Amino acid sequence: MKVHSREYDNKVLLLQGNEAIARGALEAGVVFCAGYPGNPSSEIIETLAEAAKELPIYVEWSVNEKVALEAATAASFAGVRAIVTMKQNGVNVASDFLTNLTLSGTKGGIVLVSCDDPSSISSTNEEDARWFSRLADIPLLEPSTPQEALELTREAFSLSEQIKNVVMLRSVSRLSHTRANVRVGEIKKTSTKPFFDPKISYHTFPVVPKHFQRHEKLNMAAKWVEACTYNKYIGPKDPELLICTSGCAFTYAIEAVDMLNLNNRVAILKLSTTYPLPRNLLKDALKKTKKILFLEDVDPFLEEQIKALAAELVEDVGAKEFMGRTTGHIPVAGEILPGTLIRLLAELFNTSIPNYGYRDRVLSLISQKVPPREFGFCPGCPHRGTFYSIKKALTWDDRNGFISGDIGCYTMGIWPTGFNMVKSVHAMGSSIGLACGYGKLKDFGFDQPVITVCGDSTFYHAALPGLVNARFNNADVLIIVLDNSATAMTGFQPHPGTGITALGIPTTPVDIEALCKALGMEVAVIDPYEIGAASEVIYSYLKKSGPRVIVSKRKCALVQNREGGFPYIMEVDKTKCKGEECGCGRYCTRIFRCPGLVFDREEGKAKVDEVVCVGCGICSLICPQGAIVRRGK
Amino acid sequence: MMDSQKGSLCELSEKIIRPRLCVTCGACVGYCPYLEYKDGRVLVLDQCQVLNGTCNLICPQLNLLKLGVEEQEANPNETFLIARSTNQEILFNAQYGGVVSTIISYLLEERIIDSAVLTNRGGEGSSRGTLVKSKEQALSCAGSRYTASGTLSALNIALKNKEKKIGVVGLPCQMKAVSLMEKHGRLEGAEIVKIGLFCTWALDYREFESLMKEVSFKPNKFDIPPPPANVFVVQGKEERLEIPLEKLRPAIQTGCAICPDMTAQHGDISVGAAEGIEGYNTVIIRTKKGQDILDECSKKALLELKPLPQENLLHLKEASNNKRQRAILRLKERNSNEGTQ
Repeated sequence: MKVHSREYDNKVLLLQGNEAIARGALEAGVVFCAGYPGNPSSEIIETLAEAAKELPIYVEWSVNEKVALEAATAASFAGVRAIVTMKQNGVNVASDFLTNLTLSGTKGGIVLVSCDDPSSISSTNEEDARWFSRLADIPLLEPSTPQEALELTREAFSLSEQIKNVVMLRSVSRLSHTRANVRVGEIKKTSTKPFFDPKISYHTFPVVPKHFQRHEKLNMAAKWVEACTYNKYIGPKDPELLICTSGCAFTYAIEAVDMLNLNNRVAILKLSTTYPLPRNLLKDALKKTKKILFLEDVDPFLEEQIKALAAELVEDVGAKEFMGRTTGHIPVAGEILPGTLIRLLAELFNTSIPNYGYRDRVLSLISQKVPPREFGFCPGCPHRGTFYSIKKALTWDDRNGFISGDIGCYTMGIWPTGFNMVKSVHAMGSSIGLACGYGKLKDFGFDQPVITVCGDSTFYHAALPGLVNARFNNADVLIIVLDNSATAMTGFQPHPGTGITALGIPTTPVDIEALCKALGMEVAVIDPYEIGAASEVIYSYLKKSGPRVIVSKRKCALVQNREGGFPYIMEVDKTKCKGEECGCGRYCTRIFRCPGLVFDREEGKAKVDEVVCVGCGICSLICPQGAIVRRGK
Repeated sequence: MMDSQKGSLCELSEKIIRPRLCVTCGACVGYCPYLEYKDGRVLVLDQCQVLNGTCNLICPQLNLLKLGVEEQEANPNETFLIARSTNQEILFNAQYGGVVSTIISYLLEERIIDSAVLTNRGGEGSSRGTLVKSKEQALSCAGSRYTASGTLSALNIALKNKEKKIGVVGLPCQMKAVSLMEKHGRLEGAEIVKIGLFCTWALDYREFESLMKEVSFKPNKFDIPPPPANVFVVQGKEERLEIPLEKLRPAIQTGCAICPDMTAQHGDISVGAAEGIEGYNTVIIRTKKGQDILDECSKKALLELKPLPQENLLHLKEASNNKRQRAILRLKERNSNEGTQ
């Protein structure tokens, strides 16, 4: 479905939350769109990139979130509307520019969308990016449904233009990835020509007056917020309990109150503008009840603000009893789950939870059919070969070596699928910064080799400064770039190495090998499918010193499958596989662990799962009996 | 205490390999995908869960830890000789009298063995076990290696290839490992001729390599002249460097300290230097098999044999006994340390 099609103007569409945000931006007349992929935010730029084929807008995957915000800001300075998308970690990356930009102010409406990942479903951290709105003194909008996601995105642009500053819109995984009926508006033709008015300058000086000005803008936003109709009080006039909530949690509150039949006893205050808060609305709401429960993802963001407000207004609203993340009524970490709220309400109101039997029915239907699964690389994944080779090389090396890891599919190297070789993972590109440090501990007697692994997309995103640092300070680091020609973890978005932009336009790929060589580093290239040769190269590089790079080059198996697949049909030669008698301890399935290999318990031998196996052929190199054989397709 | 469910490799790893008691005989390498030899070390790649694994049964060092030093049984067949090759080519390349090269060449040429497990000279990395089939290949391995080389991994290749008549040239630990393989039925019915080499210790290749970094020329040959020289000689094409043995000592494999055997008691024939008798080897014939081979070599005039002078015999027995006593003491120290931990 073409989300951007004008044919759908004013119609009802089934839209994903992220598509709704994209459509909202288009309806607001966005011109410049930039972002860095990261779950759960990626589909916004992807939807907009699709729209760019027919609408006069520009869309890019930037090299990282800071660059995305900077690029988009140029459009704003030139008077046209811009959107920037990222996941919560991305806001950290963009924040240095953001906290300066919000002092200088903006012109064309500019909206920063942060899609947070409560419970860290596919993130390295659990983080509430909402704090950045307070840090940077900018308004924060939080939609609860795809419909609101569309409408609030649209509103955000006009608010940004009114106050001449960035507006932040915050989604969470459940909203970004849910689908619902959305009545869309119209995509109007915009014809603003970008123009940078040389009479105006955008900088942060003098800083303190600009800081005052930023607060004035926030005060303007506070007035807008007060009139914002998306904030709603729902429920009786004198509830026993008031649930203050925002985002998806609002929908859970509605459901729970309804389910427990508490509509006459519990009220819900839905807040869509969570910074600054609608003071008057809150004052009225607080007056109505004694007990307040906060329901929000992830941190006590509303909770702390509203508690402070209640203290300020205590003479008007009276003393309150508060429940939330800070009081232990809601767990301090993890996403809000409907069940948590239902159980809490049932306990508070001493009522029973109706049993619809869904859970039991689901369990009885699927429990026999769903096999136990662990985190694992796909069949044919080049990372398996690379980690296998690294394991071998580090074992041969025998100096207690380990891997400093980074963000991507290969983060799973912390688990058995990567032979538990990765010993630290933090932010994008941090593997190399850490390695620079280890590489300098040598002078103090540190004698363990450290291998840094970094994916290609991560390499461009934030590893480059670390790389230059390694060169500059002559750190003893061995960096293995896992070049699978894809931003695989987030869904194959193009990156500087792929030779194609977000708009599908061919571009000159940035050659990692050439780039490292230009830095004066020794560079080798290995094929992770040739585990024997790869292990030897890594082993020999471990013995060298100074900054050095190995590029492990193979296309992501999923990309390879789309582009013609693999050359082999794999088979276990049952006459050669000795099963439990072998003494190998089921090496192929217990240690190598490619999901394409299974141990047939009935036959007591290994077997290739022909549905799962893609035919990469690596496993033919690991069986001590040579029982896994490959033949050409 | 170790969890037996973790499998026997875990025991080997915790008791021998990790505490650096492994002497790199190489017997455990090649049975399974978990153990590998690389540059002078036997390394554990992953933990296996097999109980009573071959690796445990045949490890000479684990055997030593568990059962202590073997009683020395009087061997009525033992004969002590000095010998040297009559072949000038062999003598030219040999460390001393060229006896081992001569015997192996004879065994291969007479098809008494089909292949021989020897230690090559290394190249890019350390020396290592190699399986040879011809006299020419065998002669390319002549000369002493002072670094541990995991030689027996090549025996496992021979056994996997279903070789039935194999000659093995190895250190005392390796002769013991072959005996343990035989005892536990791991020789797949192969007939082995065991030629043992005298040994007081072997060097860790990596430690040795880092010492060799200080040598400015390409070494051709190494030697330890008999006492009182007390040096390790590095011989280049023309250059020569003497390294004091004291400097070399930290590079000795720590596991060698608990080994009681200097003269390869488990060999059919044991061969070493003949102190003070230039160009000869000391030879100990220990079995009938060994006796027959020496007799044939002598009959065919491949070797020139003489009795070992009484003085040398006494000195050999003293040195041999010293090593044995040192090992007993070290093992005792080790056990009492373990007890107090």
